[in-house]
Amino acid sequence: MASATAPPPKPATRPANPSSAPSLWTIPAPLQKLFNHFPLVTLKSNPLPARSQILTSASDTLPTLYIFSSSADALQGKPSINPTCLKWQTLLRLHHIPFLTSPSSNHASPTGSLPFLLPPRTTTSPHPIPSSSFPAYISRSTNNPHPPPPTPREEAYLSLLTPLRLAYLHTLYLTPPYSPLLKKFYISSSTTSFLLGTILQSQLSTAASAAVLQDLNLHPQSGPGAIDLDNLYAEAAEALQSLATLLQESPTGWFFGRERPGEFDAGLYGYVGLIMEYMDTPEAKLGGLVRQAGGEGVLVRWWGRIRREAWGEFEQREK
Amino acid sequence: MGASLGSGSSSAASNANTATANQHPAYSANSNMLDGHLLTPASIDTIELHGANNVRRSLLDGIFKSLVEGPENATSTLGEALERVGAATRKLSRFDIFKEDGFGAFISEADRPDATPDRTWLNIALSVKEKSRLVLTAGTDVGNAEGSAYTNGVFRNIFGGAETLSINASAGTRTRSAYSVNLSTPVNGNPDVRLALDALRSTTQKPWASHEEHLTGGSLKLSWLSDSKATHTVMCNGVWRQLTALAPNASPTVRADAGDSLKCSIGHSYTLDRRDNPMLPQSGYLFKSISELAGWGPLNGDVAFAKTELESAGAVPIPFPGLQGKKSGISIGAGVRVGMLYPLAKGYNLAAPAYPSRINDRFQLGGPSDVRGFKVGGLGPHDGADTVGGDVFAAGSINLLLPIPRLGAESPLRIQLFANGGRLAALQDKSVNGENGQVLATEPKKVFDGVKSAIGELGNGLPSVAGGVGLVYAHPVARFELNFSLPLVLRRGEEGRKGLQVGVGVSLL
Repeated sequence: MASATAPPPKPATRPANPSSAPSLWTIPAPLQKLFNHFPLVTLKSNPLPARSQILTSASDTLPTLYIFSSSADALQGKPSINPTCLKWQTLLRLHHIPFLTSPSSNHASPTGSLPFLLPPRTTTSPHPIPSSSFPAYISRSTNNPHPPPPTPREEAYLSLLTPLRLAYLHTLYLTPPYSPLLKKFYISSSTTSFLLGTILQSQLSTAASAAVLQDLNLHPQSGPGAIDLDNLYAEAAEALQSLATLLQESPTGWFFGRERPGEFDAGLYGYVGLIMEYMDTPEAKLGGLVRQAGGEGVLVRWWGRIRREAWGEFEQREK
Repeated sequence: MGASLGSGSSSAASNANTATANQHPAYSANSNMLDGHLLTPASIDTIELHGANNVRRSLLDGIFKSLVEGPENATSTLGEALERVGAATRKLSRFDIFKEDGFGAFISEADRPDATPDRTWLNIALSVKEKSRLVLTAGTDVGNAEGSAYTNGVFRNIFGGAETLSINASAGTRTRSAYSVNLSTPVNGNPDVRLALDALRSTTQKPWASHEEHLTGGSLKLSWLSDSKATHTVMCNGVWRQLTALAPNASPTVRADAGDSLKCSIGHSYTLDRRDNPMLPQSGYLFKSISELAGWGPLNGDVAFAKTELESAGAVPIPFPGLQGKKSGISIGAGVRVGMLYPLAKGYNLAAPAYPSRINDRFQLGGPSDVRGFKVGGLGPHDGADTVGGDVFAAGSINLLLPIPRLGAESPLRIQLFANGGRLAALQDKSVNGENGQVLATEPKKVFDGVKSAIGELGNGLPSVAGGVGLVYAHPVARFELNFSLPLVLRRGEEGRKGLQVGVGVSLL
């Protein structure tokens, strides 16, 4: 440290132990008395810079959800382009919890991944709330009891999201025709430089490839060529089929017969919402798989319902 | 590189006698004997250089050839001829590839068949000792509020043309890791003009703003020494900056700026140092300016601004009655620094909207080697505990240096009384306009008004000021200070430092 001064001890602690031996870090009383007179003048604080005011000071009362998004979309609170961010953003909206959104990157996150919530400024800098604490945050904010932990049956169905995730990762990150979309999603928001963009995009693809290989128990060095694509997409199709069947069994139209769409619905919507929005073209496999699942467009109808529930205002604006 | 440009002794003809004795022992020893003959006509017949075994012939020709073949050689006097040899030798020493105490000269009369009695022809034999071509060092450093360990390799005169390749790796408490490679070469055989290519990768902790910054980049620099002994550098820079590893309680401002950005800039710096001793100035003045233009026109990148910083400092000795012309060692010094960052539109269209500055481009002010009596970055806008910087600043300091009674004026120790202060303000804009997807875009008119009002803010109320007393030790490479300071005027959120503060630096305010 540049400065070797001890911080002035809190006044309350000083009389409490007057007999204790003065340590190196306690300031002698006369010096403390002198210090208390300084500074002689305290003026009002300096206002924050423009960029900070625009990006972080739009509201004194609302928390901010940091998500992958473009700055224009985030300003309007539009859906994120990242499955996990979209999941939590959708769930918060389903619970009618008000929040702002801010475009961000993993570097901003306390856990290294998005999303996270940042409560409004108080006298000190707020501590971020990681997504793992969102269910507790939602139950606090809505005065509802904490949702019960997932049952073993729910856990089993939760694992069906993995093949869907791998197929999604492969499509977006490792399929060349989707490279412009990947760039639009994750690169354009942070840099306009071609060189830096290319470096960041190759880092993203490498990380996605490593994640897919790891989940398939393949050697990380074997490269994306080692992935059995037919099998990858077949498993995704099978998972979507099972999810559609599960949904058909539900009397309420939401997963596990819930009255209101819950975390599981939001989690699946994170993928299905993005697939239907960006990958529902004739040549895209994933859009077709979602449409075919259940044979009767079960998932598409469910997707439409969530969209109305959570994103109704944007749907109407688009019309 | 600044040092190698600045340390060469004067080459102006009228300053021949200022050449330091240890640099040219043979020449100065001879000069006493030769004093009476300086006006006799003499020309140089040959020059031999011994000991420059690894230096390219063309580099030496560039320096010595004109001495023998130049038109003035035919008409010169002995004094002029010796001065020309002296100037060439000093030029040679500025390449920094020969040992300073290794220069020697031997002069003899040439045996020339066409010699006429009215002109003496000289054979000049110079000897030099080359500095070691490869220097590997490793060590630890404590300075500028951090401790570090480093390894450094310098390949001097690597291609025989006084090129220097320097490779450096270090790990420290604040600069967690840094790797740099620097290749520099004199241009056109002139030691006063150097071209340097740098590559850098570093990780630096910035606890005053709760983050780490990773830099990866390169630069091309051309430096030269002007006739007035001022150093100019023009540079072209490209840096990938990554703000990452945020502290749990990092402020929203820092969180909003986390991530990647590319800065491409061109810049110019100018230093005119006329102080008697940069570490402990007793007289003279310094003028320094740094200008940078980023993101404009073909530069591209993610940030665009014009940034300029001016610094001026000076000192005057105070005579003490009764010392009869001897230096008293008492001096008063003062320094002023101002800076401004002006956001610009990216590309060529200056009328297009500009983007307000980010934390890693804004100025910081305060710290033991800056505005004393404040924590590092202690002045200016703060978000919670984080110093977030500002777009315009002005700072000034005045200090009285007193010698320590029994050590006297020649000792590098001084007692210092100082008062310093400053203002750091940011461009304001509260409006959020989401049109055309450009959330942060600010119209040029608003940028101008914002900068204008930020400059106005510098004069709004008293500056933030601290004063104190301390001990200064001027080591040849850095200045150490131990100060007791108290903040006098503060703004809410600014972080003053009450009590002792240690400052280490090469350019203190």
